Amino acid sequence: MSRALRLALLCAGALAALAALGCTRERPPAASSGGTLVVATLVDLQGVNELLSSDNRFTGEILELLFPRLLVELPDFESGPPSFAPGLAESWERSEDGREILFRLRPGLVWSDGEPLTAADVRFTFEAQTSPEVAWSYAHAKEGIESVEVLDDRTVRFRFREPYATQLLDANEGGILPRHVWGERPFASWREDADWFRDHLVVSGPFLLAAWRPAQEVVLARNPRYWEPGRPRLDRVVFRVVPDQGAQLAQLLGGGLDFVLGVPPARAAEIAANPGLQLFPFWNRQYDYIVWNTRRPLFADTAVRRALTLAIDRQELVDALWFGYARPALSPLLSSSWAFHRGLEPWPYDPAAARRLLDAAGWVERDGGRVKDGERFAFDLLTNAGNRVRVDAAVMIQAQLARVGIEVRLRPIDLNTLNEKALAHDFDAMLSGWGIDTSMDLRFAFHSEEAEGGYNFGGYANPEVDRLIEEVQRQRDLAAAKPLLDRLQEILHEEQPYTLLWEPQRLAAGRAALRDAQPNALATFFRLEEWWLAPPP
Amino acid sequence: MGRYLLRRLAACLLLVWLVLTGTFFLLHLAPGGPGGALEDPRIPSEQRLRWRELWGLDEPLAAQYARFLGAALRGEWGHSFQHHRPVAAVVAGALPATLLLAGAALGVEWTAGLLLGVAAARRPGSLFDELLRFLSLLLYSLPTFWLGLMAVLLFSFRWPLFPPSHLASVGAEALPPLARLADLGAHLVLPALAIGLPSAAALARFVRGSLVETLGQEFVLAARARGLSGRRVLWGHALRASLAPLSQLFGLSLAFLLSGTLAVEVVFAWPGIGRVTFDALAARDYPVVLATTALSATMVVLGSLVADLLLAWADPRVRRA
Repeated sequence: MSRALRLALLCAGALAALAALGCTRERPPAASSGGTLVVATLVDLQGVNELLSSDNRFTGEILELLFPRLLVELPDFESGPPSFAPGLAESWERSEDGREILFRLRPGLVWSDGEPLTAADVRFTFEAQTSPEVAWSYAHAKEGIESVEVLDDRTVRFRFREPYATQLLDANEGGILPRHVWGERPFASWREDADWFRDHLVVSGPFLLAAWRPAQEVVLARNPRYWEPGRPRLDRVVFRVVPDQGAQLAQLLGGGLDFVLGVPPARAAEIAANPGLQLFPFWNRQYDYIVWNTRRPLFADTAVRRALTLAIDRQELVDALWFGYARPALSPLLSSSWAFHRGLEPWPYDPAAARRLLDAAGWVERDGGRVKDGERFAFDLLTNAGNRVRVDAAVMIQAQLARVGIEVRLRPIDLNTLNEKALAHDFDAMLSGWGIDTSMDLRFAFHSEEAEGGYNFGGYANPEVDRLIEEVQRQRDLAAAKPLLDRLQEILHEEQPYTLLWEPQRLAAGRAALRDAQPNALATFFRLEEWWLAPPP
Repeated sequence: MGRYLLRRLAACLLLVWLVLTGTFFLLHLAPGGPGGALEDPRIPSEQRLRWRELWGLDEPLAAQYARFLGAALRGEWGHSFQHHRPVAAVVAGALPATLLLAGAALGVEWTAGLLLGVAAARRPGSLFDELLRFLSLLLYSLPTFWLGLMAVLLFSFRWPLFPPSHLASVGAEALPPLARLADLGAHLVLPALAIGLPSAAALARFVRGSLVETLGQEFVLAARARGLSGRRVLWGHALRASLAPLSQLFGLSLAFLLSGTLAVEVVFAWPGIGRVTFDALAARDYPVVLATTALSATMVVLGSLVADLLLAWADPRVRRA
């Protein structure tokens, strides 16, 4: 046998041995007391200090498991305004004049190092959240809060500048931070080194951060000092960074993962048919839209915008791109929400009506296109090149609008550039999407004051819309604002500053052995302390 | 040799500076900025201005460039916008994984390349030689990311022989040291093969060509005439003589391997410099992109320098030139 052949055989033998180890060691056996759950994530944890790194949804969700809030917002926004369950606070009470909320903490709360969690931590958290040196992205949520006072170890009072509908949401924004440890570092140096917080990590949630290997995995382990007896049920949760959805699904199918979020709709049927897996579809708090730049003459006319909506077959987009896991959108307040105006009549797909409206607006058909004052009806449609569904939708919309004589030039560009152009109103039309909270505040996208440097990309301005938006937020009880919200939706429906496209569902998939998982639009890992894995039969 | 070395080092520095300058201006002049919170209109503009100041983005581009260059000369790479950590810590955290993968890929390239090249050279024109030629061309023409994806599809999912991604299995930290090492080895196989095999295919062609030429030279005939065995003539004389021109390839391999890990690191979720660069590019994390570019450029330039020095050492005509 030649030396080369012997060496080659030796290499092959070594590979075979590694292969044998590689398949046997990929997963440890499930623990009997709840086990280890292995979850896929597309992105890595951005840090352990929410105030420095809350611009990423995955990070936000992990940090909520480490640093719980005063209250737990419940995923019942379909039936009414935001409602809450006790979190670190066991009770809360609003004053008669609506300017104060008193929170009473649970007795015996402790941090993971054994130190008591007190009202002083709540006040410290507020100070950090509002510190200009810390510069928290969501500091604006605290603008309505005048002060936070410690009344005793377990009682804290939030005082507001004036009563308004979403006071509780604002007070509850952000997890409670450990004053006795993080208070040692001056706010001015918080942004200098995020590693410091990782090295000085004490938590109060159901899980501890057992390990964080950047770009590899985040390992959470049961916090033995968590206040709720018998929780969490899982011993460990390992979040593996797998930056590709296809690879995530393949690993789920191969048994390397227990839970995956973001199943492409085209693969949902395959998951649902697999007896070893379960599919978790839930309505997301998101809608996609085309915003028309109303500052450009082409889209300044309401009749033209309405014609564009009539010429776009939204049902066809939903059927072709979402495989039944979305529905056409009708209002910027989601159709699953309590605030949705159920009397709105959807604009149908009606190219003939669109043609009539365009004719009446002076856009006459000529040479296969439409012309007015010598100018062709043609525009650029921008979208995020990294979002496959949106790019595909843009292609379909291009074909649909061509049928009524409108020329669409597709411009898929990277997300950062898209945002820059949107903020500068440097576009004709843009296909994008909004993820929204439960405050029913439409100011960010439709108030005229938000057109300069804000998210009102299309520069839409309507004094009545401005007034209604302000009126809604002034209500002390959001439910009482329903007639105002209805009127707001009617105007936006009539004027079509946006052509609303679809409301998608979010699809998660898990092993059949996964029990009590309740991913929802508020949190994918909602009440993760309740999840557990049934042992194999 | 001393003057030659100095001249080459000066050329290397100039090249790294040019690459960094080009990258700096391209990054800043490309449409779109770091985005995220910096452009979030919900955040008061004073707050966003503070961040711009903190990150030095409020200065004119020329001033930013001068400050960047000064800091880079002092070995300071600033803070990552994305990770809120010193860039040096971000890069240092990812470098070992890339070095490990590049080292393993280099091992694959040279082991497989030499063995296959020698085997083909022994019987030039044989069926094996022809087959190797075809496979070499095929492997060399395949993009590494595609090869990586196919490797995962076949050897992780179709036949689950090797793990499809990551540096270690779930719970590997609890394994005994030898089992951990084996676990690491199993995770290395597919990415190292995906990077190493195309290079091995090219190397095998070089080895084969060089060896066939050497085997026809007179000193080989003389060795055979002295009664040495065919094996000894091949491994002890011919191959050694053929290795001198290949030494330059080794230096170039170093450079290629480090820069070639980017796509494979993304496919295999490998936590190395390639992944860090990819994520930083997507987030326009300028300091991290510049630091990893500097690192890659330095490695490429040093690899070429090593290659040139090896050639100069082997061939005095190069030094004189």
